[in-house]
Amino acid sequence: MDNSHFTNSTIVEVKSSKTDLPVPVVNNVHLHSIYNPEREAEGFVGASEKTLSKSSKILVFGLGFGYHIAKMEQRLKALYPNGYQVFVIEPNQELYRKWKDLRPNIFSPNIKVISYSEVKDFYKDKELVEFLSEKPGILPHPASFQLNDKFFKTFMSFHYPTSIMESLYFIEDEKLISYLQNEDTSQSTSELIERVKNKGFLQGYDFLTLALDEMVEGR
Amino acid sequence: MKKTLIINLKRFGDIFQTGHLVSTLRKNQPNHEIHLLCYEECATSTKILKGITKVHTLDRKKITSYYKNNIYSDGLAINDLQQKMEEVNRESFDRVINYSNDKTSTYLSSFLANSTTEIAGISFTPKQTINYSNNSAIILNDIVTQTDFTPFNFNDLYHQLVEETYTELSVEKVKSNKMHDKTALNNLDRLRAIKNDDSSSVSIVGFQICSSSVLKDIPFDTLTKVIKSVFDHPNMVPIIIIAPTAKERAFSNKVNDVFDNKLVSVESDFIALPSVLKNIDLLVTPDTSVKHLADLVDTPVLEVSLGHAPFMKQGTINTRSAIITAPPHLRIFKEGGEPEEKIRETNSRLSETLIFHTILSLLGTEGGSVENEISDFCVYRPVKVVDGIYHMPVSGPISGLFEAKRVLGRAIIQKIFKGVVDENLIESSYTKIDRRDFQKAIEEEKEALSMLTKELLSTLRGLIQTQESKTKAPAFIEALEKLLSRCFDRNLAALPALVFRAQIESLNSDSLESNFKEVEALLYTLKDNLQKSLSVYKTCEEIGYGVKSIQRRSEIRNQK
Repeated sequence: MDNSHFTNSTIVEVKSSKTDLPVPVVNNVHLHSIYNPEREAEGFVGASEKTLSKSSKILVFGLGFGYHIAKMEQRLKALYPNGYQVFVIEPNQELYRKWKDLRPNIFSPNIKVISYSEVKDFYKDKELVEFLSEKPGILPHPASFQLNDKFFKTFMSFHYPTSIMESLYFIEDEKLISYLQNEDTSQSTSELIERVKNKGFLQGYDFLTLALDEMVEGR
Repeated sequence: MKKTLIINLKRFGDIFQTGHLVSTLRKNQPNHEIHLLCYEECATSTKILKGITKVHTLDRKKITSYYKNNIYSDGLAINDLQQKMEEVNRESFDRVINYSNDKTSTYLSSFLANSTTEIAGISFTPKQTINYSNNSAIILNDIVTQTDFTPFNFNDLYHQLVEETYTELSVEKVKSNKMHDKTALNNLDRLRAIKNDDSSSVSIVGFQICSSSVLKDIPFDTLTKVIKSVFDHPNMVPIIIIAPTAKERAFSNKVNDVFDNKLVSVESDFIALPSVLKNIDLLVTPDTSVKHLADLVDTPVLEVSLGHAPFMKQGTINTRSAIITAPPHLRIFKEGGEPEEKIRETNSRLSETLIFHTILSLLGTEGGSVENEISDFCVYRPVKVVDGIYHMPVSGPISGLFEAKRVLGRAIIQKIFKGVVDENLIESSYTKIDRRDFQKAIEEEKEALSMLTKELLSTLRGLIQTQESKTKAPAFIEALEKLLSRCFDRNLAALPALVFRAQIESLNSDSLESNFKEVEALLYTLKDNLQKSLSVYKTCEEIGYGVKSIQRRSEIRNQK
C-alpha cells in the first residue's frame, strides 16, 4: 500500500526560520518552529526524558528536518556513553528527499533514518525489525505524528501476511527456501506446522519446523 | 579430536548441573571437545563452567517475538532458528547429548542426527516414534517423570546416557577469577577473625534466601531465628548471599533489619559467586540454582526443600550435604499440585531448631546430631552407591513403606536393565527402615504384580487369537490398552509397565504382521521383567531375614 494514501500527496515547502534554519512545511503545516527550531527541539527532549532514561534504543516517529533528533542525540550521548541506537521512520518520501538534500544537521552512525513507500516495506527492513524486537522506547515527533497519524497508527497495528510465500523474503538459505517452496506456499506457518505434524515420514527441516513450534509455545 | 554437543535448554540451575557431566567427560573422554547449546537468556551461567570449548545459543525470546507478534513475518523466526542450527550443524558433532530431554531439544537432536552424529538420550525417528539411545534414556524420559518413587536422580541418569557413572571428582568444575578468590578469602577470613581469636575454628554459614517461588522459600520468621542461632554461636558467622537484583536486595535488607544491620550481605553475580561459595563452610538454601553451583565447587549444602522443589530428582548430590524436607510421601513434587495454603501451612511447621541442629551436624560441631530430632520434617543425606548417588533418610517422620518402595523401585530398574541389584543399598536401607515396612511393601507390590501378570496373560492370549483371526483384534486392543493403563498406577508394577510402554512406542514396523511379532516379543520381555521384579522382592526378603549374609559368609568360608 502506498504511503501517499496516508500522506495525502503532500506538497513539501521549505521556509527559513528566524534563526535562519530550513523548516519544512507540509500541506501548510510547519513541522518545526518557524522562530527557533532548535530551542523547540530542546523542549521535545526535555519532555521525552522519561523514555530516554529508560532505554538506549529509541524509535522516533517522524523526521521533520531532524532538529529534535540532533538534540535527542546529545542527550543520549550523555545518558549512554557506551552506546545507543535510534531509528527514525518517516513516511513522507518527498520530505525525506528534501532533508537529504539540505542536511541541516549531521547525525552519528547510531541514528538511522528510513523512509519507504509502503508500511510493509518498513517491516521488510531486517535492521529495523531486529531493532524493534529489542523493544525500543517510542517517541512520536508531535507535528509529524499529527500530520501522518493514519500512517503511524497503521504502522503500529500492522499485521504481516502469514503465508509461506511472504515468509520466503526473509529466508537466506537456498535449501530452506526449496523446502518451503515444496509446500503449499499459500498456507500459513501454523498450517505448515500442523501439516508436518501429520506427516508419515519426517526428515531434515521437518524436525526444525516442529522444534520452532515447541520453542515458541514454551513447551 | 572428537566433538560432543550437549543440548540443555533449561534454566540456570540445570546449566550449572551440566558441569558435573562436563567434568566427567573431560576426565574420562579427553579426546572429546565439548560444546553446549542453550538459550541466550541463560548463557551467562555457562561462562563459569570449565571445559566447554564453545557455547552456542538460541535467542528464544527474539524468535518467539518474531513468531508471536503479528507485525513480524514468521519468516524471520524460521530464518533465525535455521541459521543458528546450521551454524551448529557445521561443527559436525560426533555425538549430541539430549540433556534437557524436552520436546524442543529432542526435535533439535533429531535435526542434527545423521550417519556420523550419534544421539545420546532420546530423539525422534522419521516416523515420529521415540528412539532411545540406551536404557537410561528410557528411565530419564519415561520412568522418573512418571513415578512417585523417583528411583534415580537426574545427574546419575545424564551420566548413564553416555555410559558413565557419576563420581565426586577432585577436579575443578568451575572457572573462578583469582582476584575474586583472593578478595573473598580475605574478607571471609576477616569475619572469622572478628568472631573469634582462633579464626580457624570459625565456620562461615552462607544463607541464600530467595528462590524462584515464595512457596519454596524458608518462612521469614524461621529463617531469621536460624540466622540468629548461627549469629549467637561462638564459632559461626552467618552471611547473606544475594544476586544483584532489587528484589533480593530488598529481602536482604528486611532480614538485616531484624539484626540492626549487623549481618554481612554479599551481593554477587554468577561470575563472582563461585569465589564466595568456595570460601564459606556451608550454604543454607531453598531449591535454587546456587545449590547446584555449590555442588560444583564442593561446598556442603543444607538444602531446605519446600513446595514443589524436586529434591529426589535434582537435590544436592554432595555427600557432605543434607536435605530437609516435609515427609516426601506426603509431598507433591509438581508446581500447582498442592493448594498454596496447604504448602504455607506445611512450611510454617518447619522448625528453626531442626535447621540449626542440621547445620551443627554438617559442620561437625558439638550438639549437631539430628538422628533423634523430633520434627514434622525429615532429614536426608546423599550417599554414594554403586551406580551414583542415593538420598538416604536420616531422621524425621519417614514413611518406612515409602522408603522401602523407593529402594525396591531402584532395585527393579537395576535388575531389568543391568541384571544385577545393588544389595548393599538394600542392606543399608534395612538399618533405616523397619523390616515390617519392607515386608508390607513387598506384599502390596506382589499383589500389584499379580494383577499386572493377569492382564499381561490376557493381552498375550488376545494377540494369539488375533493372529488366528483378525476379528479378535478389538479384544486384543482393549486388553493392550488396559495393560498400558497400568503405567499410571502408583505402585512398582508400573515400572515394568512403563518400560513396556516405552518399547511399544518406539516400534517402527512397516507391516501389521511384523508389528504383531514385535509386540509379542515385547510382551514376553514384559513377562520376563515381571519375573525380575519378583526376584528383587525375594532378594530383599532374604536380605531382611539375614539369608543373604549367611550365604555370603558361607561363600567366604568355601573360598577359604
